[in-house]
Amino acid sequence: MKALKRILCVALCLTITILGMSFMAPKADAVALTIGLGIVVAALAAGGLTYLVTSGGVSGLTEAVSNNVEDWLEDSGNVVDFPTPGDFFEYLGDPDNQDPPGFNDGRVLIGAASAHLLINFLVWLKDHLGLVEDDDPVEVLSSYALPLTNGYLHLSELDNTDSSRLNRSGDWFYIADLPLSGETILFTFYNGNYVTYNRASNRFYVYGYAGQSEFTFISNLSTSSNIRFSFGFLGDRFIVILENSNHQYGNPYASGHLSAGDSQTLLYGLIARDVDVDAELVSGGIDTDDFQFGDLLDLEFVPADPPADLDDWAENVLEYAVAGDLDVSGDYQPGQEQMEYPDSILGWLQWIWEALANTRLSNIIQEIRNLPGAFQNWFQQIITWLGNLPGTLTTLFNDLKTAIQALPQQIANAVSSAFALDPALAAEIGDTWNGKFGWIDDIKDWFDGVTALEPEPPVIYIHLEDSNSHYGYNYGGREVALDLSWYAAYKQDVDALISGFLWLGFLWLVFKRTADIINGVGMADREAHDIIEVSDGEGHTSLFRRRRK
Amino acid sequence: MITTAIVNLVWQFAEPVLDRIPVIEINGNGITSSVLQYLRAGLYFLPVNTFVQILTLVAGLWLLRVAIAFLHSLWASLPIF
Repeated sequence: MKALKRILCVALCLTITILGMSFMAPKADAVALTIGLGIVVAALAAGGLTYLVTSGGVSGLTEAVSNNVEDWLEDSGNVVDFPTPGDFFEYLGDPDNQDPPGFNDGRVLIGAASAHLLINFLVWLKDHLGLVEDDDPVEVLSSYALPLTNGYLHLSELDNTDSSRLNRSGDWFYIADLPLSGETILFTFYNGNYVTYNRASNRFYVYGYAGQSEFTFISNLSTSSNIRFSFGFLGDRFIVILENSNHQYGNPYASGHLSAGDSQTLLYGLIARDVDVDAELVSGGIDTDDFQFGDLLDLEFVPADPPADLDDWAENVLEYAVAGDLDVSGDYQPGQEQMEYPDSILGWLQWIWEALANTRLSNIIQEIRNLPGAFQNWFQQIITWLGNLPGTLTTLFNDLKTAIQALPQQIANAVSSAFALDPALAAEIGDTWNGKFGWIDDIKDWFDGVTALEPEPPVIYIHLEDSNSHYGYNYGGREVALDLSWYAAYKQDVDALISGFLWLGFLWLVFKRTADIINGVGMADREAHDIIEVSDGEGHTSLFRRRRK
Repeated sequence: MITTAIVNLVWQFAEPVLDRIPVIEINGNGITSSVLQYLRAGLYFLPVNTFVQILTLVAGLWLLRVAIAFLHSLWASLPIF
């Protein structure tokens, strides 16, 4: 029972609260004011964040972090930075090739160990295709033989040769079309005299008279004769392009003018073509005025007999890359049985460049560089959300307010629909009632007819003309039986006097019955209330009537 | 819905009773023409309007007491106190 009472009380309180909410507009406005203050605070926070982002505070902060990380990596000496592919080529020894074709723009940061590995790879590539890998000086069979060390020809070694061979005269531009029979590769030449290198014996041979042969030394090092050289592969040949950057002045004269020091390395090349052994030397095979290093790199490179250890080496490179800071996530994976080699030196360099660009270190740096944008996007999303928050809260509040205001009407509609009488049933009852008790209206009409004539003093006539005489006697016309018109002069005063007493009596009775009327108590209840029960203390009770006052 | 159900329930009992009541028609025309004029003459000495007003008020007070008594009954039936 107590639970039921509590439920009823709670339901009653809830109903009163809901109904009261619709009449408490000032308090609703107070709630709206509180929510509005919250919206203002949120808007201020959003504005602050907006200013922080738009003023560059966040991006500047993350940019500074990014730069500091990069500076720290570069200052540590463990990182090599290639801002552009041109820097990459400059690192490889080709500073003029600042815009190599087919290279994606970007920035590469790799560890110093990886850079060292890259150099080793290129050296290996060159050595594998012609250069000597042995550290020992090459034994020269003739007096014109020159030693090579590890693919690099040191000037100091050249100095050990007859310096007269450095003298030259005449045209010195040549591309070798020398007899290349298996193990022999044209080295370089001059005026019909040339030097060959025998791969099997690892020796160089100079043809022609020593006094007339001039060895053309080529390098990117400074020379008095402005000589440059480029190298590349053509077929299975490693070729060298000799270029005179001072060609317009005629034949450069390199004799005794090489200025490279002992510690400098002169990259030396082999020139060869698949020609007959007895083929004559063709001078001026390529117009080097228009021939560049990049042109050679575009030539197709199809190893006729891939070295047996290439797979092992490449796999080692990849394993090293995975173990180190190279992240080779492209087509080349360690352990693959078949590996598609690039078909040119340029292809190898492009592969290396892409691999370097995918190093974890570069990715980390790139992620750091992307941080400002990421933070900005994140903050902008928050700002957008905060910017929409006032509208969302306002809409929510308005919806809530509308729902609360509509609730009483909905309750009223529900109550009305629950307690409304069916019109069809009401019409049926009304028709039946009117049909059975239509005489009530007749009496009412009759009574109204009686009272409506009250103001006029009644005069009762006897209509003698309506009498019927058996003998044709005329009783006369209408005669007055009762005429109360004499009372009309007194009726108003007498009615007022009687009405006064009637109203006084009525009001006195109402006054006496006021308590019963308010309490809705009738005569029977009042009589019951007048009965009281009196006990004598010994278990006997008696009923007495309360004395009326 | 609730009221309709309750009234319909009561009507199911009241309708057969009402059906048994004959249709009564009271025609006062005859009274008006003969006897009524003497009744009017007697009532002419009384303030009929005052009588009608007081009787209307008495009837209204009775209806008020009935309504209050009905609300008292509902209140007494609630298991609150």
